[in-house]
Amino acid sequence: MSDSRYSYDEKSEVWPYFGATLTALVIVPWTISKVNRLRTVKKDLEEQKSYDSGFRSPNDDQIQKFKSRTKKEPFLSWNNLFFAISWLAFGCFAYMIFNHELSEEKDFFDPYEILGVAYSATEKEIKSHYRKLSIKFHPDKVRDTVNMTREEIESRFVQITKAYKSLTDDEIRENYVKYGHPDGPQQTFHGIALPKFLIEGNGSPIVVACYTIFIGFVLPYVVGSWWSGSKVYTKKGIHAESATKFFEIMAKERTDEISHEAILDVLADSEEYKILLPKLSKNDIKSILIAHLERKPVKNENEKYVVISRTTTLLEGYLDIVSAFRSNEVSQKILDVQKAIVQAIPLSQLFAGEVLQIPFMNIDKVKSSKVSNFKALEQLNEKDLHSCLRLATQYDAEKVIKAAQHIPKIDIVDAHFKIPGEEIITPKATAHVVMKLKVHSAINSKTPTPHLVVEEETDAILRNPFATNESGPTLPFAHAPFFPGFHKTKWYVYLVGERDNKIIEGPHELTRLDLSNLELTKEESVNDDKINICTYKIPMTQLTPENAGKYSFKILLVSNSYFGADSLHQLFMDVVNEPEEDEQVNAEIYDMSEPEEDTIAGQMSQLRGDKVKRSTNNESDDDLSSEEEDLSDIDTDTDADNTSDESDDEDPSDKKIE
Amino acid sequence: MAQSVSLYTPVIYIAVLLSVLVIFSTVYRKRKLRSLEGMKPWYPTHTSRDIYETLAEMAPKPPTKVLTSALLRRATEDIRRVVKIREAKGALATLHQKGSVSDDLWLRFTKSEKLMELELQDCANEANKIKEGFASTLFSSAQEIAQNDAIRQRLGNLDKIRDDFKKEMENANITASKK
Repeated sequence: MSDSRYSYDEKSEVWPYFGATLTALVIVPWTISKVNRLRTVKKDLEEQKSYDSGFRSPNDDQIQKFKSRTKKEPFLSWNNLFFAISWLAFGCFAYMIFNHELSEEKDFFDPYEILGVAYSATEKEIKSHYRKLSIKFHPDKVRDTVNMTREEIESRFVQITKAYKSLTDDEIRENYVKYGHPDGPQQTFHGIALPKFLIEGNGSPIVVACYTIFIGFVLPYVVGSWWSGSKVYTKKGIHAESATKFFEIMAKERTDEISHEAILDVLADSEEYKILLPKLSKNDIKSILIAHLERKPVKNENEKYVVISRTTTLLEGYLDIVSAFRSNEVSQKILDVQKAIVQAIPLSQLFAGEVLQIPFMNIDKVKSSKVSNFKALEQLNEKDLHSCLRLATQYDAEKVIKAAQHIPKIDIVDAHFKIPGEEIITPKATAHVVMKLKVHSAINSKTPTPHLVVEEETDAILRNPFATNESGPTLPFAHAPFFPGFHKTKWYVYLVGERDNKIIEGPHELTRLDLSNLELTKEESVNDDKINICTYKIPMTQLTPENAGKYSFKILLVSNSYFGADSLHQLFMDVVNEPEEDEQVNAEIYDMSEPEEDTIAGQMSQLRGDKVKRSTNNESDDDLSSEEEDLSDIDTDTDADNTSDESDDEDPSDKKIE
Repeated sequence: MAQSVSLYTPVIYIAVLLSVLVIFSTVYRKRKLRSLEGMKPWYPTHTSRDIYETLAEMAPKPPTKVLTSALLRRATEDIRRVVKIREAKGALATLHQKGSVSDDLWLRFTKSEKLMELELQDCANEANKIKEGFASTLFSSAQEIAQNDAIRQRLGNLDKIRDDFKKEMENANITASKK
């Protein structure tokens, strides 16, 4: 009965909607991300503005140019061009939509509208209205006009009659309700929101070709390159090859043989540089790195900036790899190299890094004045400084003092282990370390420590003890006049076992810290009311040991930007077995408050208990073995040897049985 | 009513589909094989093994003592490598899980581990060829030798460490003398 056929959008009524929706789908998120990025970049630069000492490196203008180029994306780029084109396309579609009058749908039949009565009209009203209309529009009564032909007049009258009948006559009404038209079912149309020229005639091969190219080539290529790209770079953002190279060294060499130079060598051999600067060999890169450390110019300064600006990511990637080997020794060396690169200090002069990182200082001044660390610098008064450091003017001496004052040093004034909701440290529990930190200027070490207030365990703290880690202001960029980039200051926090010098926890990144203590004047800093104390908590993935006893650890706070800003603190974990009554009381309280969750919690602790046993067993094995001998490295070797030996012995015998 | 479809159409369709799949699978396998072939071994050379094999293949067989000592050197090197690989295995597993190293490295490492096992077995077989049940003696001596080597290396390194510390102290003294 019904005859359906497809019709294309010949008058371009619908497809602009389709196009506009499609482009909107792309440009709306794109625009939001663009705006967001612009905002955060601006905010970052303002909030984290580093301290300006007034000192400028000789090639400062070039460095600034390079910095701004890396931070801001250029205005004329392919990205921006496509962005503009998409907006233009969207505009065109919108224009087409708004400028196209919708053609009246002839097939749409609304008896109320034709009769010109309200939808709420009663039958009586309809009848009277129809009568009026039929008198007015009856073909016998209406004369031909210029505007309307006889046929039109007649059809109008027929429409009015039909409308009237569809509202009053039962049979016709049924037709109307069922099919939407008093005459019964009408032709149905299935439109496709594509302009006709694309489908029929010359356009169709183009469409097919586009479709094939998109589905067959573009889509697989994009997905493939995304996939292989995600495989090429590790989670830490370094090239997989670079990670492999460093891993190989860590796996094959002895940790005490990995020197600062060795780290610089791996750095120079990174895959990143082979991609960015394909013309340069490994040795070229190394000499560029060394030239930077010695603050010497190279032939192509731009290459130097490219090389140096990449080092941070690479070294952070190495740090991540080292942490899996738990080697504290190598971690410190990597961070030494990081600091050396940020402050441009040769590896042979690291001992004087504290002073060399201050503007206007160099190795000759250090040697002649014999001032090589903050402690010595602190003891000089300003007049001595001027003569002792052979500074050109008094003005420079001021700058030196100011810059040194703005190097933040953290003192760990207190650190202890804590289990949320417990007074003591129980075995096999999840603990964390609470640190109280006092920031002071590197050349003002004698600030008093205010009385520490013991933190009350509120509900909020119990729920998320680590909220305080995120509360402080973001640390500013490092003061690094020779570094071609914005270097984010942070401290790496390590928890290290005292006995074997292996990393137990970390590195965690301390990126938020209140540095307001640095702004205090000398007089103010004597007053302990003004001194600000910050709290940082180190989460621990390992559970506390199974057996009661005293375990010793040390906390290391290592800066990634400044020499002499590191901090070390020894602390003990006093594991005490929990009195049994206590446990019951706790359990009861727990039962009362959340009885339903108890089962889940029970399961969780069971699960954890299994894990605990395993991990603590491992730990105790390690401990035992390292107690026996002090040569821990060889020791683990013997352990492994024994096991390997056994399996080796088994292998041939197995064979024999076969 | 409908235009009749040629009988060949489905046949051609299936043929094209199958051939594409076959081509894909052969190319994929070949590439995989090639990537395995191109994989760098974890330890590229094994000199003591090469020495032993050359000795074993010599036409007039060298004295057993020579062969045994060459085998012992080979076993020592094997032990050293096995230990290193086992130490690194844990770290690599963690890193691989975190996504800090590539799948390729993981693959390469596990393959090398298997190769190492084969090498140990080969070594044990050779030992048993010399004398039945010699393998266990061989490996326990080799282990002791490896340990001894490690301690020696460490001892030898002490001089360098001492010199380094000396230098560091001298540098630190620049400041100390000022006080």
